[in-house]
Amino acid sequence: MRRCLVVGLGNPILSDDGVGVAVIHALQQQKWTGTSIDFIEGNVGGLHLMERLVGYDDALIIDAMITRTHPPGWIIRGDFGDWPGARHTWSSHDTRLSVALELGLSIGMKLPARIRVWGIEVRDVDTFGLTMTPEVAAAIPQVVREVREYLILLCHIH
Amino acid sequence: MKRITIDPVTRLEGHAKIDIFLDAEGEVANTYFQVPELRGFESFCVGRQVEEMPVITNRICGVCPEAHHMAAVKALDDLFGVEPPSVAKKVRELLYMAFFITDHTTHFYALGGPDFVVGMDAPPAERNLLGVIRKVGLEVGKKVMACRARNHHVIQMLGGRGIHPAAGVPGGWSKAVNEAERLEIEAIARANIEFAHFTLKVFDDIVLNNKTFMELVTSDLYLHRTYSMGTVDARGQVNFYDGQIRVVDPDGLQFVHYDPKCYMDHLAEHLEPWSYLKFPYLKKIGWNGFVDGKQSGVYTASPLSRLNVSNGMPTPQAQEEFERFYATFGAGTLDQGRRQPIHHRLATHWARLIELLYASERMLELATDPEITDPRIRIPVQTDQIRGVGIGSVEAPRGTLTHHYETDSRGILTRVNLIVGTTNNYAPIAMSTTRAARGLIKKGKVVDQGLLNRIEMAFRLYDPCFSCATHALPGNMPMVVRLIDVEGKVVDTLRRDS
Repeated sequence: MRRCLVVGLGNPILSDDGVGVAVIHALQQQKWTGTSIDFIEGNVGGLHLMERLVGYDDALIIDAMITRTHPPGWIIRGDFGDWPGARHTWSSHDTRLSVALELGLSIGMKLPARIRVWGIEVRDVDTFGLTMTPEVAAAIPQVVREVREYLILLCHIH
Repeated sequence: MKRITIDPVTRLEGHAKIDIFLDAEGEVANTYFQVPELRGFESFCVGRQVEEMPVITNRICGVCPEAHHMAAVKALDDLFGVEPPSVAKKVRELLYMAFFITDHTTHFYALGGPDFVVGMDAPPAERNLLGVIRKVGLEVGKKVMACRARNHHVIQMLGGRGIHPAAGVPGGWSKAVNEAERLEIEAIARANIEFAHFTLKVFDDIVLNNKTFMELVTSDLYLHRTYSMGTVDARGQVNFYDGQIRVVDPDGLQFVHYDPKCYMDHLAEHLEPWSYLKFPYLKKIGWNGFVDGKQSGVYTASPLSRLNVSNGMPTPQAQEEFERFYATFGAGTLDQGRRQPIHHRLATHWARLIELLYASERMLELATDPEITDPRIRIPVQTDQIRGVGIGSVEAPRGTLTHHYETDSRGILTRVNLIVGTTNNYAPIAMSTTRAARGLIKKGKVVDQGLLNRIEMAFRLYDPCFSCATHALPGNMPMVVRLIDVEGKVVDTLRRDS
């Protein structure tokens, strides 16, 4: 059975930055039978994030994004390889995820062949608080739906 | 005045940038570093139950949640006026050693070390952990990752969660250590000691035995004679978890020794118009600008300063390294085993590795302590014990960390103040980058990436953490240097998209 990890990145007490974590919480509340899908949240990047991916066939990352070209709540989908320098996956205290993945592979770690990313355009990631920008919060159900559909296809579950 | 902007500083979370201002002759007038402001932490906390703080504060940052968790539970002990059982303090310290080991290891191999191992002039894309491994071999990569994995396992085992520990409670710890866990941790501690020696050997081979590097380490470019701060135990030796704060002057004479709960009597904060950051300084000396020396209240709190204030290391192998460290720089002996302070800032990298060895040895001491499996790990607390003020302090990898909470009689927070490790070093960081920039930029010319990197090295050696979990995707972390003339026109741009 394929093992799949779904990661919600971000800081849940930093306004919109918590959107990825909120998606994970919503997914965790759904019923997932007969699957090998793990859901985790984390305010981590780089090596720490790579270490969480070890042993999985597939990984999905859900995170806040700032492109400044889309309105808040806009959903951006892609492969991690599309944004190798994405700052959300960097850690100031080790390295960026792309380097960490290369390192992991070079020393024989089992890592997902593909990492899908859902990004949600956010506005405020600088203010401590539990309230999100309304447009960002409104995007959560749509992301949850899309991730669920993707997982069902990926893992051949119902 | 010309302005050079390095934005953002690579490998630092958030949008940190360094601005370098040139005078009319093109010489460096000053440098300012700026980081994004996270707003409203205090107001987020005020009105909440104080017992939430150990899990709230470890959300501030994805880099050192363990340090915040530990300072927070110590502040709660103080607030409830409770002395945790001896075993609880030991279990807390045991987890804390595992955290220090992963943090210091990662800094050396991924951040500080690449400049020396891969080379200061190497392309930025190669100056990382992968570059280190390409240079010194795959086995090193395996050792580093194994060290991280086994110590993360200890953190998870003792802290209840892998990333953001949750086991700390006022009056103790919520989970005792059983014999099977103890045995596992003992084996891990032994592996850590071996790894620390291996890492010190790497440092010897690559830095100490390299004349060019040692000339750089001991050059004026990275020299600052400030006061040093650190936590010491009853014997005046290094302690990360608990003790008194000792500050020594630039000559190594003790300036003050105080209970961390009295930090406000000794520290004050200076404000600058160009930054929202507050620059702490020694109150009794006063703020005299970003300058070195006895007359300046600027102090440093770092692995280097912790060694400078201490009478030595409490464990035998780390003590041998401590002696070798000071002997290498020709530092004389002061009273009680203390040595004349080392002020060569790049020596901080070596000091960090001596601390790595100490943390590993201390982990073994704790794991083999007969008391460590004692199940009586917590003293229950009641609301009527609340004293209204609680202050807790630990040494975080980046410097002394202080949490200060005030509450009403029900334990509802009314005020929160934190001085985090890096905050102590804001002034020294600003001074070090200015000094490096002045030494390296002449007549307004920024010549190459290597030069820029040498300025960044002055910044990086402090292992600064402005972690704010700012996520911005997509986008690289470019380092842009702009030369801007007096009219504000960009006359030159140097960019790296590492």
